[in-house]
Parts: sequence; C-alpha cells; structure tokens
Amino acid sequence: MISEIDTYAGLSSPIHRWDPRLKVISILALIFSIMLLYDLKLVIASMLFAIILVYISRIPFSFIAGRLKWVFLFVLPFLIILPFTVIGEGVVIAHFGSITLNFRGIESVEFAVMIVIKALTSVMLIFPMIGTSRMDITIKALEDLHLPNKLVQMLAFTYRYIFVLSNEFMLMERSLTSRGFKRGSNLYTITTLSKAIATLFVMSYEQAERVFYAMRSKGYSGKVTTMHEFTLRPQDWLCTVVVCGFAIFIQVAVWYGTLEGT
Amino acid sequence: MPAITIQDLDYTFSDGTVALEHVSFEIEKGESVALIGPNGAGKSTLLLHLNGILHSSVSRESVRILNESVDPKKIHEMPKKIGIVFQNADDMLFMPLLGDDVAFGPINLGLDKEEVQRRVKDALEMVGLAGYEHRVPHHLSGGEKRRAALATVLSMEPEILAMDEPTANLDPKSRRELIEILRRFKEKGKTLLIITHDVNAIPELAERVIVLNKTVIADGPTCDIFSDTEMLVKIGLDVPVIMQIFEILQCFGYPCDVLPLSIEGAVRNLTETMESGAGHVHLHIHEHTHSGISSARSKYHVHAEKHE
Repeated sequence: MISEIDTYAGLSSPIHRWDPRLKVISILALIFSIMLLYDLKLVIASMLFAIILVYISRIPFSFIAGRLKWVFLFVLPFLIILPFTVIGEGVVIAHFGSITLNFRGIESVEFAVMIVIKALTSVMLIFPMIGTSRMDITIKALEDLHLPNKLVQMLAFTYRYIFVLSNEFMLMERSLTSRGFKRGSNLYTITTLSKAIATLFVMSYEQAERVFYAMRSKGYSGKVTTMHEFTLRPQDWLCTVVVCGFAIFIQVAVWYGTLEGT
Repeated sequence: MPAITIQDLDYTFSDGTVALEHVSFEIEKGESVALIGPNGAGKSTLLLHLNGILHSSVSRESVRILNESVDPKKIHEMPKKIGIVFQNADDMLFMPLLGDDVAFGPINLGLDKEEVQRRVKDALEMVGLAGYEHRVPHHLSGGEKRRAALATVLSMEPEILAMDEPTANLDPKSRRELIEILRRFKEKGKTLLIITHDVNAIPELAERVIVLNKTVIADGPTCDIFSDTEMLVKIGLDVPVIMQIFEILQCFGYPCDVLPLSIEGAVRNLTETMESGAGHVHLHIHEHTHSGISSARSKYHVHAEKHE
C-alpha cells in the first residue's frame, strides 16, 4: 500500500536524487520569486521552466493536471472579475441601475491571465518539491533545516495519522452502507455524515490522548528528534544552482526591465 | 528487591466512576505476573499509574517502582525503569518511520547516536523485525505492528516490561511469535507484568496471577488461582482449555490430582500417568460420568446459560 502523497516518490530522476533539503529550499525560492513577478512574459517563461522540471521529475502530467484542475476552478473567478475591476479608465458595457459594468481593456485581461498562470505554476512546482521524496524524508529534511520543532511534529503526526483516520472513516462509511445508507443530495445525508464526522473527531481526540500517553511513556518532554543522515554531492549543488539561478534570473530581468523603462 | 510495589492505591475518574479501590500488591524483581480481570476492572488504568501518567491525588506515593516512588513530574525518567506497551499498536507507533519510533525512547534518554543505533538494531532483531528501520508503520500487518510496538519499548532496555493485552486480536502465528518473544524476555531475568484475557497464554508466561476487579480479588501462583474456578467464573473469567479437558477426563476416571494448565503440563501429566499405569491410561464410563461432565461444563458456561 502506497499513500497517494508518495505515489511517485519511488521513481528515479535527477529531481528524485536531489538532496531533499536543497530541493525544498530551491523550489520554495523559485515559487516566491515567481509570486513577486508582474510581467506576463516572465511568468510564462517561469511556467515553461516549471513544466521542464515536472518533465524531468517524470511525474505524469495527467496526475498533476488532475490536481491543478481544482486550483484552476479556484482562480477562475479572477479571469472573469479582474478585467472589470482593475483600476483605470474603462469602456462602459452596461448599466444596472446605479451599477456600471466597465471593461478595462486588454491590459487587465493580461493581468488576470498572469495571476492565474502564477497560481498554477506555483502549485505545479509543489509536485517536484514534495512528490519526489517520500513524505517522511521531506519531514526529516525540514527538521534538518531547523523548521520550528512544533511544526515538524504537526506535519509528522498529520502524515502518520491521516491514514488511520481515513481508514476509520472508510470503515464507518461501510458500516453505514451495510445498514442501507445511501448518499444523496438531501438533509438526511448531510446530518448522517456530519454525525459520522463528529464521531471521528471524538475518536481522534481520544486516540490523540492515548498517543500522548504513549509518547510520555517513552520519555517525551516536548521535542521530537529523529535520526537522519543527508549527504551533499556535487549533483545536488548543480540542481540548486540551476533552479535558484532561474529564480534570481527572473528577478534580475524584472530589475533590468525597470531600469530600461526609466 | 521489589520491582513494583503498590500500596493502597485509589483512583476515581473525573466523572466520579471509581476505577481502583485499595489496590495493593508487590512484584519482586525477575517475577512474571499476569494481571487478569473482567472488562472495566481497572487493569489498563492501573498500568498507567506505573509510570505516573495517571496519578491519584488521594494516594500519593502509593506506587513505587524499583524502590522509588513514582513522581508524576518526572515521568520522562521512568522509561529507564519501566516500559509500557499499550493495547493499540497504532498509539505506540506515531513516527513516520519504524526506525524513528524505535529510536524515539533512546533519544529521549539522551543516549549518543551510536548507542541509539545499536539499541534500534537490537530491539528490532529481538522482535524478529530486523531491517525494518525504514518501513512505514501504517504499512505493517497487525502482528508486525504489535511486535514493532514492543520493540519501541525494548529499545529503552527497561528493567520492567508491562504490556496491555499483548496477544489480543492476533492470528495464531503472530500470537505464538509474541509469546516466544516475551518468554525470551522473561528468561533474561527481567520483570514482566502482562494484562491479558488470553488465559491459555498465561501458564507459559506467568508463574503468578493477580485477579483485579477494581480491587485485588486474588493473588497467588498461577495453578492456585486457576484451581479456584468458582471465583474466576463468578467475575466473568475463564480457565485454560487444557485444564477444562483434564477435568472432563477426570469424569472418565483419569487419575489427576493437579490439573495441568498448558500443553507442556499435559504432556508431563500424561507421561507420568502412563508410566505409573504400566504404559496405559484407563478411562471408563461409570454411573456418575455424565452427571460429572454436565456439572463440569455448566461450571464454565454459567454465563451463557443465564442468558438462554
């Protein structure tokens, strides 16, 4: 059984072999760099770079597309609303009483497209970042990067118990189905499932208490430390230079463009 | 030297339910003891008192481990002395990798890296899971999880091992493997306290049995406790199947003063009987055989009959 988050962690690619600590830092730097961009051409270039990274990582595009679809649905309103709301002179399209609908021109469409591409690119980069190492290794990498211990513990416990809870919920659903429950678009379904989820919360609370007892029995006093060994090789630095180099390049390009503009 | 001393321990849950009342007993170092009792008898609650996770404000200093009273403020010092294995292995295996789980205790004890690695390797070998360091706990089978949970405690090399229902819900092979591991631990001279409903496993693991039902009802050598069938059945417990079979055999005229509790005991008993009977065992049906069988059977099925 492989958890969905680790589905493609077992593949072999330069991204998979990249030291997880440098991978997390470099790709995060790239994501931040992309988020700071306000130039459509550079955003498109970044998206192409992200697609190349995904291609190298050998994670199937269909797998990523299936998840990006939800992100796209979330950012879709920007495409529709932004062209009518960005500040500036616009062409009046219609009047609804005291409300006027203005279209702000092709620049505002570009702006909306840029935001959507930025969002999709950032989410796309998450896949080579955490989908190419097993989650437990990524968690250890974060611990090694001195991420606050409380956050590391939260991530580790979420990863460990999400499967236990989803399994419990699956058992609960089976039990409901075996007693004639059918999902539908009605109040009964909502109340039944809410009760099941509420029970799951109570169960998880009780389990959390038992786990805490077990941790204290093993000498836990607030900090979780694990043993891990990461070794850096020249290839790791090469990948880091390429990805961080691109993150710096797009910022330099923006800076250079601003200079030329003045 | 006593390993566990409990003197007049009382514990009441926050909702007012009395869990333990005047519990007192002492377990010597190197002893193997089974703690039995019906559901809700306070066995697991008692277990949590042994390292101070639960503590009663009315019974301060009631629990002493290796001659030192358990201080709830110093729970982190307890794993060196007593290792507790909980009933649900998922509660014990909370780290992303099994190796991390087994290393968790030794790291908290402040041991150096080489020592932690040695203990992880030894503990996993001891439970037959050598090389499982990089396995993810939720991918293990039920039996493996139970052994892994034991390894997470053995890695702290405690003097006393306390386990809650170690053999519950295991398939026969996993159950046997676990019993063997516990037997090896016992042979090393360590102190063992096992909470169990598995009466058939007790003769192999414990030489003494404590019966708990909120308070200590009986305490004595395993064979003495199981000979008081009436008391056990009254509080909803059972006796080993081997013992029941030999009681039936007695009704057929089999000469047996002390009923054997385990297969080994049964083999020994049969051998002795056959040797004294010139290589034969004589069984026969007489006028009281069937009434004897009925009374022996009804003794153990008293609860079932009540509901019928």
